[in-house]
Amino acid sequence: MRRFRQSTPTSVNDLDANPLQNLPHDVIVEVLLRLPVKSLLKFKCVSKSWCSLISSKKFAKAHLDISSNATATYTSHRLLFSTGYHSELKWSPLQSALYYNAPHIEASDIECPVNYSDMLLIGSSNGLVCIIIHQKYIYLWNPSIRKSKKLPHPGFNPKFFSCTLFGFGYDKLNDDYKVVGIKNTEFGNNEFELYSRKTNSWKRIEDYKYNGLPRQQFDFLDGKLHFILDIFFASESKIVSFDLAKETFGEMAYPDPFYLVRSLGVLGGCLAILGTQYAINGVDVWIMMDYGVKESWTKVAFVPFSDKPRQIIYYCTPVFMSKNGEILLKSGWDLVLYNSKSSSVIRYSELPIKDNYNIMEVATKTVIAREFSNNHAAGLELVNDATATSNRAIDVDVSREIPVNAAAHGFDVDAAAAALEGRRNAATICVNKEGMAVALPGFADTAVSPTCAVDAAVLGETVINNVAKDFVDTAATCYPSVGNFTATKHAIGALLRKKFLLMSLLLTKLS
Amino acid sequence: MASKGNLTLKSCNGKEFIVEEKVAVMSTTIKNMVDVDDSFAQGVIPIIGVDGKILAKLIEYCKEHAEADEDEEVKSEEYLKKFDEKFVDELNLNDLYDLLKASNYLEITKLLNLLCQKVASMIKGKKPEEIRRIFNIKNDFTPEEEEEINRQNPWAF
Repeated sequence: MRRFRQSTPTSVNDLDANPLQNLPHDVIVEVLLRLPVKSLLKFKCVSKSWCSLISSKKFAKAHLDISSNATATYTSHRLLFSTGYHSELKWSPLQSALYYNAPHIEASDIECPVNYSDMLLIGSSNGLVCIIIHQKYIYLWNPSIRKSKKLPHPGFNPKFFSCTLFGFGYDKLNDDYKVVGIKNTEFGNNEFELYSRKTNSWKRIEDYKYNGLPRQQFDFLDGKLHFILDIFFASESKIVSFDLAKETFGEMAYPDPFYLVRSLGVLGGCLAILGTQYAINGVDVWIMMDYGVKESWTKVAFVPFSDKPRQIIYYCTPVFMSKNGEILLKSGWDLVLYNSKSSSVIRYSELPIKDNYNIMEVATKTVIAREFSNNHAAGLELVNDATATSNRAIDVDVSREIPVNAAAHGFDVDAAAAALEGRRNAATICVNKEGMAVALPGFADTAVSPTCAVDAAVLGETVINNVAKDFVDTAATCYPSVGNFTATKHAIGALLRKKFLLMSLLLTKLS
Repeated sequence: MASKGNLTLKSCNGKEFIVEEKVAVMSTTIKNMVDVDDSFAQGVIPIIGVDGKILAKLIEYCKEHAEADEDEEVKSEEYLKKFDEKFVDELNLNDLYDLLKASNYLEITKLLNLLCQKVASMIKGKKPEEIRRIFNIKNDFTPEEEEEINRQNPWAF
């Protein structure tokens, strides 16, 4: 028996003379619950009892709870960055975005779960990340333990170029992870499917009666997935929610019916929107303090855009809000850190994904890494927190030239860019800036009031859609319905992937 | 004897401490004793297996946190964080061990969390072999089994 009272060791490096050898088992468990995932995986080989303890579901759950609660310094939160087309993946501690004053976000590579190009992040919950490869194969991925699992195909066939949008979340009531998919087949006819991890199967939800197109972003809060729905042929959009446990839909009002909402997200555990009335140099941040209560929408900040050289700064999304009221937004190629208490921008930091890629569209999700599947051999369920920013990329070399070409032809740069992306709101903003609808090629000399501008923009997209059809056989076959701007977006994305200089072609055609 | 609102705690080596009740009941164990049996509130509460030095440390910690819980203005979150950091930094291993054991027995959850976090940060970068020596654990894997487990997550090493 070792005598550990003889000296006063100050570090565990005095291995043989340390009193920790006599710690009670339950205290050791408490210590292990506070270790990072990487250490836990390493320590599985310490002994058989440690291995089974660390691998148990109960331990994983307790570990998740502790890391979720350790939010004071956000040590277990991570930002996840990806460019879809090149499958470049990086992650970075949330702390570095919040506390390190650097012009760039420092990030390290993380191995892609599946070795394919064209990977998009769909969403994340409890650290489990849902991704889609090639717009076709859906995987659940736990980045903290580098494991992934392929899901079965949904009932509808999400083909390449298709208008299928996916969302991912956790159903606490049934302790189940769920994926939803909306496929827009033709006008007003959408199919809605739901995947359950427990049953490992998809089923059709018949109640989905919404006449419009969901924007390419789902946000998860409080057991519900939320998305913005753009109503067909109306300058209107609304927030629709889907309760993963009850499998019911709901609607939520904006703070102002005429508010131009750019994106939806979750900030500080509340539903949040970014939008503007008329401003073009920044964006308002609204938070729904009391979930479901329209009157509780509160404008917490106006965050100005950076004055960096022109980029498509309009594509901004909420990322995170700290307890101290620091708000993190993604805007263009920057992460903007804003202090809502002093109403000032703390810094603009460049995203770690190189600007060779055009990060036009972003979905933001909150992630805590966690368990995967019951049949997973190692059985480790997880543990780590993260906030993910997914950047969907369209090849940049091409799209960067579009605003230039558009400008050369006398069209409004932002409108062209917005139209290209198929985003009505961005197009509208630029129209408001001009005070008339110069939104798009073909409508450049049509002066209309700002309220008509949205419709003009939608019609403008129709033009692009028609032209796009001439260039992309596949897209034309898939999407005969004119005015479907999600289809347009996919078609144009496809074009860009094929390295066509779409806009210059368009301009030639139109002039 | 303690006046009203105060409790008397007695260490295993006979040292007595008079503390405010709100400080003492940071310990769930003491709280349960006082709640169940009124005589504890009047007389002396023996703290078995905890000596005077460690009990003084426990009281120092609980005092700061009880006061902070009562009035956030006086002792801000930031202040507590600094206090906690200093508190654990100044501990040698024997004190750390004794406090871990005592806060586990007395169910002072906040302190136990803090101390476990401290141990976790001390060991997180260690090799499995070092972990076995630190906690005196016998490796009951065969070399083949150990290799198999390590092979599942090569990136963690």
